[in-house]
Amino acid sequence: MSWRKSNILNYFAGQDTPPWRAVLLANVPVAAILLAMIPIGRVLEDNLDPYYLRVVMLIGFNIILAVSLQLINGFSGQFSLGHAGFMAVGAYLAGFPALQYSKDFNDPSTTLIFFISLLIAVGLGAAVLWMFFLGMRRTRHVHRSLPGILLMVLLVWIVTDFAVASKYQHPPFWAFWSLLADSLQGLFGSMMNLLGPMAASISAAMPGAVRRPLCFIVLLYGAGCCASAVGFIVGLPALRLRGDYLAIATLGFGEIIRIAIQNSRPLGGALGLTSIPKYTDFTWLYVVVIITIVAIWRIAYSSKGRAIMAVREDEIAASSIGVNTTTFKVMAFTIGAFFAGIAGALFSLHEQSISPYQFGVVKSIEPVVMVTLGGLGSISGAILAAIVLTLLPEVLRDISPQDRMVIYSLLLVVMMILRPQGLLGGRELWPRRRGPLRSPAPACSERAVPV
Amino acid sequence: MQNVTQFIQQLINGLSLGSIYALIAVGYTMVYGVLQLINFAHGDVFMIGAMVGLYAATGGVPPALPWWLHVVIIGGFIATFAVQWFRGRRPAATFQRILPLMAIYVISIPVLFAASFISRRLSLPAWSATIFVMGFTIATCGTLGYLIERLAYRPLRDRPRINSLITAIGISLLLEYGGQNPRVFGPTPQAYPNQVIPLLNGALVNAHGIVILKIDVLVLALTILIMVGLSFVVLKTRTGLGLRAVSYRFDTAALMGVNINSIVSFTFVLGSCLAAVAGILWGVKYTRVDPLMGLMPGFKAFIAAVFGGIGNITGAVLGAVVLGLIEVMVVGYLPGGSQYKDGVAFVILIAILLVKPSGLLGKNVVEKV
Repeated sequence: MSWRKSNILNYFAGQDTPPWRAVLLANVPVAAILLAMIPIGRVLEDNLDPYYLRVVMLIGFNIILAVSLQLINGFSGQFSLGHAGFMAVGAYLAGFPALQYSKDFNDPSTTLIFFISLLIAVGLGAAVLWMFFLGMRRTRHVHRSLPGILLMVLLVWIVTDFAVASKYQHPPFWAFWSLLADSLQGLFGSMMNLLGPMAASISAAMPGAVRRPLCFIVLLYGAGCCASAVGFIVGLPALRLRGDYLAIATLGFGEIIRIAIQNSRPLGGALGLTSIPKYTDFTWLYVVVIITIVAIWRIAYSSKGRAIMAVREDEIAASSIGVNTTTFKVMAFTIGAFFAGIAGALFSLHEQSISPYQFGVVKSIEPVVMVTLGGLGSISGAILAAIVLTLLPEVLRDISPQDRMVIYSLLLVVMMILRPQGLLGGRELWPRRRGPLRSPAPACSERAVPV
Repeated sequence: MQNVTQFIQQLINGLSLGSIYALIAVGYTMVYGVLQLINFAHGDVFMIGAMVGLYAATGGVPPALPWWLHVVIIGGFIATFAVQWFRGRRPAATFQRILPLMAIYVISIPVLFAASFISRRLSLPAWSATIFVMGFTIATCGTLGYLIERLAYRPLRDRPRINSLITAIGISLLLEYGGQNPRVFGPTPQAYPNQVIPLLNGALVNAHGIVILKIDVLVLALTILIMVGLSFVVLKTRTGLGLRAVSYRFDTAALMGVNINSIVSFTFVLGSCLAAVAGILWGVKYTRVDPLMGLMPGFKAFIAAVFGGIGNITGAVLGAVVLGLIEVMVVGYLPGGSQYKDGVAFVILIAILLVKPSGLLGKNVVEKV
């Protein structure tokens, strides 16, 4: 009777195979809460003052960001300061196709094709660069060559922008890169031209009630996947660094992402994207919030989560008992980036206009403050802190944004000196069930499940 | 000929920019060498330096601290006595521990009054004016550096390093956004007036299309001077010996009778003084200061310190000069390069962290269990 410990994640990892019935049963409460969001959303949106509704929505975004950062900063102990970068990736990669291909959310297939073409084009480019780099480094270790690939991808992006920005005769030095970048853009464009109409016809065949939510889900999921791909690419080299170096490197990556977006013509440059169609409402946002919380909770308290926490406690000790530290660090990073990307996507489809300046250093630090205040390693603490820190400036109405940051920073310093473990200090608000609820300890352990 | 002139001009600009970065980077690298702490607030001490320099030169120094700050400070002292009494420490012992803080507070009152008086009638001869502005700014920033270390970092010294890092971010935000308060500096950028420091204005050489400002020469000379001076301090003096001992092995140095607290304070004060100088020079050269100006130069100076090998003073100077040159060249020679000005530094940071994390002149440290 250990089905309560079973979850989908373990199932996919091949660790144990719970009967589907048990999995479904374990997820009934979650499903009930998710369904309950529909009437709650209706009631709130009809009755709540728009101002309060906006605050509630802000709380939702912040909860997603804080909880996903908790997995990186709190559970895996890798101090990341680049969450806004992932959020920016999600926001732009949801806002751009929504603006470009499916302004009325009626075209899920084309949106899907957009993400697939994007991933194929970028993947092909990465493969070319990878081979180029392999030749240079003569190494067979993938992870060693990835930093180089990353740098070259950045280079390609920058050089493409130079080439596009100025009607400039390409100097021979850049020829290879601009050729690659041009061909990638051409590949992407032709895939969209070729597959777009086909996809549009598939979309047209769907019933109307399916198309809009499906398109929204595709947008969210695609943006999340792209953000987590970026998280993977960023994380793999960066996580070789420790402690404060990692913090600085992630900060640098976040800034690079922001500056790259800021200088990219198709993404609107410094002005950003405006008049993005609006879709996110209370129900959608809080459905995602709950999914995020449940997912992070289950990851954190699964056997994978144990490994992640072991890496936090002592990397050398963890690797000596057979935990592949790089894998678990990158796993935490990638999953965190995924949810940050989804938060960004929700944000852009709610705010309707985004600019690179919204995703600066301050935006990265806000969730860090929440996570630290709530207690590193406590999901409920992060939720609590996200709610408190979003409400605080609203309660102190007369306070300007600058003074809000003063309060944040004072909180950080005082908290670190007086109570460095945060509000909840690694514990959860509600007790975590250990083992089955009703049945007593199993008489004979025919299945010894390693915790 | 045109190209050569342009190149030389860019070279001079790059050297000058790199030297300012070097002045900031030395502070980063020394603090890191002693405490293994990235002092995020250092860039903001630089900002405070620029701001205080501006106020000292234009008569904006207030004659006294605002009343609420007096209340906070005196209340803080009383609270400290009360808390320590509650924890069983005699007031005399508490007094001894916080004596430097109380001394700073008491001394600051007449100093501020005098500085306000002088700054308002600054018809001093040029030399005296320069010395006053520089001296007051350096004193302020040195005190600030001491206070930051004493109040924010020292209580956390034996906790995990990540706590100090978070505190450093907090202090940095506090200075940035506290400075944006209209009662402090205000959020809008302010112009350094032409005659802030009379001695430093104008061009030294202006011929053949090449302009060398006095400030460029001064910055470069100052950087070399400070590097020589620091080498002397670190290698030849007793304090320097302690500094090297502390950076080599913290606990062992304490056991050998090195006064850790005074060494760390010395490091912070020295770094903050150099940042103050850099702040004034930055203001004079770029003529625009605002409370967020410390962010980017601070990051870049840190990147320069990492580039040169953090913990190594020569490396920091070298890295800063190279970074300044690269930045100026990118802006000057790549089309649309000015937009990538800030990105370049981060790309360099990541490249150096991935390829050679110990930096150009740093040595590899192997972690032992």
